[in-house]
Amino acid sequence: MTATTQNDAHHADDHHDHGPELTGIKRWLFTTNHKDIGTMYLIFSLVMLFVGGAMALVIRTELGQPGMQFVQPDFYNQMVTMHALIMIFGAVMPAFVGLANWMIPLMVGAPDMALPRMNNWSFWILPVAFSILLATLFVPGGAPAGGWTMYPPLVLQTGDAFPMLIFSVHLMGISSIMGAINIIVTIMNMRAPGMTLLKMPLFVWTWLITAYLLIAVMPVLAGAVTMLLTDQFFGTSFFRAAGGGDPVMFQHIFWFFGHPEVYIMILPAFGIISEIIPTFSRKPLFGYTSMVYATASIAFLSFIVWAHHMFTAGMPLTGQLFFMFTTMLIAVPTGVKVFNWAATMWKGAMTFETPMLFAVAFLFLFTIGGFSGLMLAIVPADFQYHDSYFVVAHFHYVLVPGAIFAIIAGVYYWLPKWTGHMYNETLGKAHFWLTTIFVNLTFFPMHFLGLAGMPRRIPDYSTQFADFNMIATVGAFGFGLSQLLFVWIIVQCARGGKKATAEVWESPVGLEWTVPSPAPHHTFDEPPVVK
Amino acid sequence: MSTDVRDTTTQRRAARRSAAILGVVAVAVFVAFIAATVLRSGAGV
Repeated sequence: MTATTQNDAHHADDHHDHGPELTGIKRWLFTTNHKDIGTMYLIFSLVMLFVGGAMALVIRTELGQPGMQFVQPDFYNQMVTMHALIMIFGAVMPAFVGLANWMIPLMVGAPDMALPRMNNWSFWILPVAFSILLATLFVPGGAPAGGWTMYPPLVLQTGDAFPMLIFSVHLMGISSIMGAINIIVTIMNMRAPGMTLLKMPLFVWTWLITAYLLIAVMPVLAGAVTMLLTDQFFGTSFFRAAGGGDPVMFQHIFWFFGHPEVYIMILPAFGIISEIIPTFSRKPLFGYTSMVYATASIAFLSFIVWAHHMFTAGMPLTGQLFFMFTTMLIAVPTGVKVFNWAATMWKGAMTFETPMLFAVAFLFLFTIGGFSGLMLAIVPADFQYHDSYFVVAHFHYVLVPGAIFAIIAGVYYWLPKWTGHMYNETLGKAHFWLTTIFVNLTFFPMHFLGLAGMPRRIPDYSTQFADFNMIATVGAFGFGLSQLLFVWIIVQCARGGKKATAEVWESPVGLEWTVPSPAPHHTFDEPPVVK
Repeated sequence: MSTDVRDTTTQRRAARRSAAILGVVAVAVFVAFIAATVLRSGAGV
């Protein structure tokens, strides 16, 4: 793809480059600029990463040794529940939306998101939602403690936090749906002339498909929690067995949302990796079209695998077989992606700057998470693994060295474009090695713990699990502290450093590299032409 | 569409129309799942 554009460095000082009209707090409260909103999403998700991370460290501190040391069991359960809700809805999803806000208009040659005021709303709903969620820690009965899956009847035992939980989930859902609608209509309506669908960068493609997933499943979660609310306060019995309702029905509805949600958290990661690997391999992405079809296939399959989360809840044999085979089928398009990334690197003139290091680590470590997922897909094996630490190891490998590594890789990759400065490469590499070593130290022993029979969501355990738990706890603190280095690198880069060129890297492909670094406040008022 | 002057008014009008349709779809999914649960359980309300 080649592009001609008016927004090169020559024109950076003309009327396109004027800064924000408002200043101070008003700039951030009322901004409709996709770059400002992207920055706010990213800062918000970083804050939530540390809040959720602190809760993870409470969990790991308690689990450092067998016996009850530091917290009460109910508070431990609150930490487990809040950690998951905050990391999923507050850290990972907003980080991807932040990257989408910053990069999609730049990648498709649009001047902004299609609906900028709705974009502002999508963001500002989030701090409200999470303030409500975090406030539950201080109400009678404490925060929700029944797990992020909110299964009835357990969740109905939540104290005063219950309606706050439901309201905050509703707000998160509204924010996500509005953000998803904005992304779809931006991509479909605002692309530069000549940018056909199959010329779009992979990050744009993966986000387009993710946005459709969000619109399809977030209302399902909203419906499920609304029914919980009416069961609790308005006398309905959707999920109350005593009133003729069916608690297992909630699990089906929840996971009909929950499994596509897993892909909502990984498809944009695939997009980021598909941008980074070609740049640092100095080769075009191998199998672009197959990557698009693989993404669409994964999205389709995500709707017909949900019951693999609940094999042990009871279902007919044909149901078990159906969900086992459809789940295994996901390995096919995922394998296409992994092999395409490997083929892109094959015989490439590779260099290993920090974004590439994180991308390569993603490839290896996400694949470990994928393989343990395949093990869990096998029904008879799942009966052994279910609710064990093996499951905890599996989904953390998918989400931490999977989704979060991709987010970190994307931040390093695009940071010079955002700030106009190069980050400190030596510190970036140090951050990579510390993070990668500690993430494995934290989560790999959990495979062994699970296979040895340690159940998940417990504050105490048998002494036979002590050694691996101690290793995981040391790893978790190392991982958490390493992220302070990440914050320092970002702050340092935002404040100054070596000036970044428009291209930043050696001949990267895409419209975002045709605008100066830092990207002017307004870009592509005059559309580029994509040839 | 001209390649040197972007007709953002037309683009944004089309975007608003698409957004409205997607919003209706989202609300329909929300209602459909509650309705389906009522029908399935028979004791929902």
